[in-house]
Amino acid sequence: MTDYVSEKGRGGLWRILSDKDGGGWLGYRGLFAIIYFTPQIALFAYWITYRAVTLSAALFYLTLIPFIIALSLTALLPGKSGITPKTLAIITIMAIIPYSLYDWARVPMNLIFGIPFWDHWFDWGNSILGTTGTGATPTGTIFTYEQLTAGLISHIMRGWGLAVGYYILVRKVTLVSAFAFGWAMTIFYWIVFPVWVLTDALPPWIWFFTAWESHMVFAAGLWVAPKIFNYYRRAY
Amino acid sequence: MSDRPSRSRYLTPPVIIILLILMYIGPYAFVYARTATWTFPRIDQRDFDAFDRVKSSVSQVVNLTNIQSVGGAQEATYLLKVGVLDRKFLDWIGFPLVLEVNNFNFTASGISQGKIILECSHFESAFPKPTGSEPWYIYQPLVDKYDDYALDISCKGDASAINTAAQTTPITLNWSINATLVGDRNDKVRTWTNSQSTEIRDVRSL
Repeated sequence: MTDYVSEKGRGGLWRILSDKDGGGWLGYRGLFAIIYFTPQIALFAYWITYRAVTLSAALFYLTLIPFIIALSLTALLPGKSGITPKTLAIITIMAIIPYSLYDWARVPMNLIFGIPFWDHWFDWGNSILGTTGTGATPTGTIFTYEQLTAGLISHIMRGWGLAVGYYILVRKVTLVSAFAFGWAMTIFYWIVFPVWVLTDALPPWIWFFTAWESHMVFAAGLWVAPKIFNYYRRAY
Repeated sequence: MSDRPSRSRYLTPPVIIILLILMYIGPYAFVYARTATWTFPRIDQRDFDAFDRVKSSVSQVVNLTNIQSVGGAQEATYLLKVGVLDRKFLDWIGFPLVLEVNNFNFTASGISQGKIILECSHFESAFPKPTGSEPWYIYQPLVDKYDDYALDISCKGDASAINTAAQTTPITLNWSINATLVGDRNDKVRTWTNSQSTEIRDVRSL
């Protein structure tokens, strides 16, 4: 099993991309990382089509179906690949920490600067549920707890899936790789939202700062989660 | 001596699990609490402010556009500009929206010297507004375009009741507008009624 703290990286770039045990980015690692990125890919499809592709359809075709395939593929994972059902289970638990920290990092930004970081959760929930709310008007409203909850769940899937994807991609968690991943997410966020998301078309500086600081906290969470896990694995 | 054993004594797996659960649900509990205490009240406030700020508009000029024979009588057709102004408002995140106007119902009668000169009745199911699925460079001009929006409403009347030789004829226009305004989370039926001096302008030759 891959030890996410102590295992030394070895073999250079080619070993990262491919190894005979199927553990490279061009093998099972890459495949499973993409599968765990699919909630984010589904959202991307929703954004770049200006919501023409509903999030429910995107999640069905781009997330649910790949996950069903992945379930079967898990049984075929070669033990030497470093990705086994047991590692996947450990990773999925560790991945809770970074994205929880990510959301915690945004809480003070709401309290201090009024950043409404959950505004899109209503949009996503509405696009998933396909409902127009329970309001009295024919058009209804998207601002209901039902739609907030559906949007929240999709948000969790994405944050958690990205963290799982990172742990699958790296053989050894390092501060550099964690922050490189955090920076990549930040840049992706800085580009996608202002370009394709109408309500974030002209964001103020604090919006960019919030996106950056929360992803940096996410990166710190990626780095610290295996340490916590290993500490308690040794202690008990 | 290492402090690991003493820390581990307190931070036992059940305690860690409880801490993880609290850490996990904390931000979401915050979001639900803020939604109840901040988001929804803020949306409601901005909706109601928008409902109060919106104004109706009825032109003080009625254009006579056509006179035709209908069953032996002379029927005059008029066009009157009627609209709703100041629909633009900022939503709870400070994003510009256009207030939805549905079930717009306009009725009016133009009176001169005790006689009804013209009558108008118009129903518009919904005023145009941006869908919200446009890119910003398309959306933003649409917000400005639909901020003040007016319809050309067709009115009819007996042409013999007016002096067609005169370029303008003063009348009193009694009108009523009824519309459902829809904000982000709320809706309100607003009614405007008024009696205003208006003039009929013959534009057939223009």
